[in-house]
Amino acid sequence: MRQIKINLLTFIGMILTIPAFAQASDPGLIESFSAMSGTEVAILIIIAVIIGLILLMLVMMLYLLSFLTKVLKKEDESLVNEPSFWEKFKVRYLTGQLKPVEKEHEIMMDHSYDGIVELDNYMPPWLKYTFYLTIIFGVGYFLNYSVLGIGQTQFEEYQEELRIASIEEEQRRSMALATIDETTVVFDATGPGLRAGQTIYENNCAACHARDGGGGVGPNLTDEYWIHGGSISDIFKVVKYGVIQKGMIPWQDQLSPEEMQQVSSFILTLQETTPLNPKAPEGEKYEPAIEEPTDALGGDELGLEPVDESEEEN
Amino acid sequence: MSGVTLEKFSYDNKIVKYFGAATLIWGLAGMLIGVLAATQLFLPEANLGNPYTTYGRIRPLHTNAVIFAFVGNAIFAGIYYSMPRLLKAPMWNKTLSWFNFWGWQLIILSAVITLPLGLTTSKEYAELEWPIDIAIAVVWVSFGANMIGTLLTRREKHMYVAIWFYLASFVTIAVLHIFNSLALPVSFFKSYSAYAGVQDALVQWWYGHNAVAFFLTTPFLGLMYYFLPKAANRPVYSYKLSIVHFWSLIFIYIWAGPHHLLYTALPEWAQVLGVAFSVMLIAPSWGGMVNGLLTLRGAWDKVRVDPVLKFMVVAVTAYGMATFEGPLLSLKSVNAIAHYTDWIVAHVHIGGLGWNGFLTFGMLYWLWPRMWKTNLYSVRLANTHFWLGTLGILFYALPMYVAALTQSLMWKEFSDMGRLAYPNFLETVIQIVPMYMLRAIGGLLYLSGAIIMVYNLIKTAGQGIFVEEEMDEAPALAKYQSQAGEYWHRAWERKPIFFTLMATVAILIGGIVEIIPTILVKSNVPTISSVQPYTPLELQGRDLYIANGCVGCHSQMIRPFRSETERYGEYSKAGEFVYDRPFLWGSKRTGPDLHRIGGKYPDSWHYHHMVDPRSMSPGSLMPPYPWMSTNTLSHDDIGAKIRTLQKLGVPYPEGYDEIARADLEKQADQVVENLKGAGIEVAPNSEVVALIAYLQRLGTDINKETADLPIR
Repeated sequence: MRQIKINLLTFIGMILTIPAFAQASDPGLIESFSAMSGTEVAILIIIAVIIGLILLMLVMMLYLLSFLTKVLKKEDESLVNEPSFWEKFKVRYLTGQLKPVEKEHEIMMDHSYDGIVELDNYMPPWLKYTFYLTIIFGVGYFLNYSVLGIGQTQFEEYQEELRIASIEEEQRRSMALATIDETTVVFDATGPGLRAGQTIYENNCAACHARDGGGGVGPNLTDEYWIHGGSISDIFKVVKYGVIQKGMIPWQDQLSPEEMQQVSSFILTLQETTPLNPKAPEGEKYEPAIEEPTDALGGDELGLEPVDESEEEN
Repeated sequence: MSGVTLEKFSYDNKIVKYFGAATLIWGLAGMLIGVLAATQLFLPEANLGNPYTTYGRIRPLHTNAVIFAFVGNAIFAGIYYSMPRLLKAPMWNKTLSWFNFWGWQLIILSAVITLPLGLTTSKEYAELEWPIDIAIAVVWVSFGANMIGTLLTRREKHMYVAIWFYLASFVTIAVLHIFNSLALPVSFFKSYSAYAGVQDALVQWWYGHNAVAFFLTTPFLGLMYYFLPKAANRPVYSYKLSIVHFWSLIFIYIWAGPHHLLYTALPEWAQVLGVAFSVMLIAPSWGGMVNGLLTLRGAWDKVRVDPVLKFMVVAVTAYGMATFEGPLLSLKSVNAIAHYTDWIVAHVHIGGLGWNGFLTFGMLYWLWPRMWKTNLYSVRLANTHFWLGTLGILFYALPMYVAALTQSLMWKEFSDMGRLAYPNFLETVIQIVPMYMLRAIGGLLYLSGAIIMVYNLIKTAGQGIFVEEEMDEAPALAKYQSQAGEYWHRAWERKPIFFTLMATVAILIGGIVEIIPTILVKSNVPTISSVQPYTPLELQGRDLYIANGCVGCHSQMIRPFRSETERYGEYSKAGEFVYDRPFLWGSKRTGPDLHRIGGKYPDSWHYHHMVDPRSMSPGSLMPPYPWMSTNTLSHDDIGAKIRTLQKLGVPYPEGYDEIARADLEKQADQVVENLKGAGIEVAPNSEVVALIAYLQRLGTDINKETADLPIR
């Protein structure tokens, strides 16, 4: 029996954790609560008070009932041995008539298999009713999703997710939290910005360009020679879209625009430092004094089509 | 009793001893490989720097060793001991018994050799190639024939509930194994699945789920029904419950397979059926637990002192927990969180370590002293084993639950700016590395307990005298005299052939309803015109991907969640997999999904990443594959592969097998050219070239689609 209790506790624990998951995927619950108006909150409180009162009255009625049965039993001796409602409920729906161990020979079946005998007990009622409930649930579940079409299909769920996301995106736009792109990016010379840029660089870029920017798989970032231009906008663009046929991967899915601005700014601070193992310069010498190119990267370089690389290098 | 003559006969204990010993040896081996695999997940150096011991090949070796070698031999040991005694007849044919034993060990041995060599179909728990599959079918059927033969020569009129479970297990595993393994051979070591994409996935998980049901569950319920009342010396709680839970369990279990494929490209009606039947499975599964635990009513004082009963109680409780957790995991909302994570790994290990492992240990501790007519060498050591094992399970499962929830929530979290909070998959991996370490400690504890058991059992055998043939006597089976009012199920129990047929009908229905429409009804897999067969080089790359077990860590199935389409790209459509033989959707994301990896990174990135993953992704847990840049492929088999696929209906043009080689070389040269541009020199016939070609193709076909894509 103790084992069954433990299982029951596990069950309750698992049930209790389900709402936690639901909340994790639906953070709007608390927000929607705080967004309520004063009258709505008042109505909620009133409803809660009424429900509380009803519950209180129910408890009082139960107490009264038990008091009444006690009085009745005192008056009528024959009622004393009558089982209580709970006992009847327990026998009927939960445990069933359990034979005491000493009396189980009464229900022992008349055969033995290699010394193993079986008792002719009924299936425990709680298990039987659990079975019925799960069957009802199963049938209902199938009807809900596959016959009546009430439950959302996985694609409808997805569309709903996209719809909510696009509304949120709209709100962010209206709050003027415009994102940085290659036309608006600026050199972020602030200390925190550059420090953040350095961390991003070390986590993501150092593998190919070396920690000190000296280059390796990727080109040297410390010299003034650039394959795709050396302005902050050029660097931002290469970070964002990558140059896939040359081995530079796009980072726009992994880094936010702010982060790409920070790391591009940090890369510019590497200029004229002396790395340990500098890679030979590649590309053209970039001279900021001369008219800044507005579009250092040709559109075709952003695509996936193979490009004749020997021409590009020169 | 005076008129009844008793017939004398004997039980073969030797075969039980052999199967028991094989259980111990393979058990230790399987668990040791498990600890190695667990270590590889936080220490990539533990891959030992060669293709044969990398994680992708070690993981299937571990699952095969513990399922088919450890648990399989335990099943045979238990059945060969209990069945003759329950039927009062020796096993029908000794030659078949020994054929069963040596055949099974040879199959395991061939798995131990072929899996590290990369000879695999990659279908989970059905990885072995077709010649071994045929051997499995032959040995399994010979085992079944031996059981049926014993039933026909029995001296006990009615079959006890344990026998029902043995029969159902035999029939169902035979059906599952044969249908899931259907494939067309290319050569002795290579074949292509008879099913493709969505259909292959459905058949595989119909098999995979029911391998759990009919290899790890029903045979063990049979063993429980014999060894638990024997060890406790108590009557079985309820005969009626046995009947209800046996039939409902075998009928319902077979439907539940699709819950492994929720939110995938599998038709949704099949997914919904899978969930509905999974929930209905709770009570039938618990029937076994309830009947086991209530059998111990009045014997709980014994449980305190007897290690055999202790192991069995924990086993039955673990069974109850796992069979409640299973239906819970199959609910769509829970599955959306748990699928592809370590939660599933924890779940199967509650079942495997708790239910299968502990019941096996309990059974062996009970069997050994009886077969050697002595006492257990040391009850104290057995108790030590019990606590080490229990701690091992906890240390295994709890960190996995934490890891799973942590990682899954990280995958799904969005920042205030509406972007993924952890866009780099690796961040979510590094977060759970400490949990992987704890898990390996759990496995180590469990293994050390098992080592203590082996020592204890060897000592027990050493102090006793083995009884090779145990004598018994019983009256011959009398001709049946019909009784009025015989309970219908009692009548079934004295007709083994009829009973087996009814069980077969019960297990066929669910599979037929789910699988046949998915294969036959066209609308279940809407075609996408731009999806084309793989080029010869991509095919070779795909076969390399299969041989190296990449599917063990990388899924190829993007579910329709915003958190997944943001991370990986457009969700996967059923029509994209029509040339995938076998399907490679995977079941676990230790690394990121790869379905839309094509075109995302340059060839050179893949080259560097294969040679040393940490050079491109610092902190990565992926094993390095430096040999892929030097190992070469002969490509001589490409013609045969094309011809085999043509026979399976892949629309390569007539005579393409003749020119496939030239196409292959052209594409290889292109990849080599690309790599040269990044300063990498590599031979066109090297493995990495084929693999890169395959990876760059993955998921790109729908980019060419001009018209609207189908929804599913």
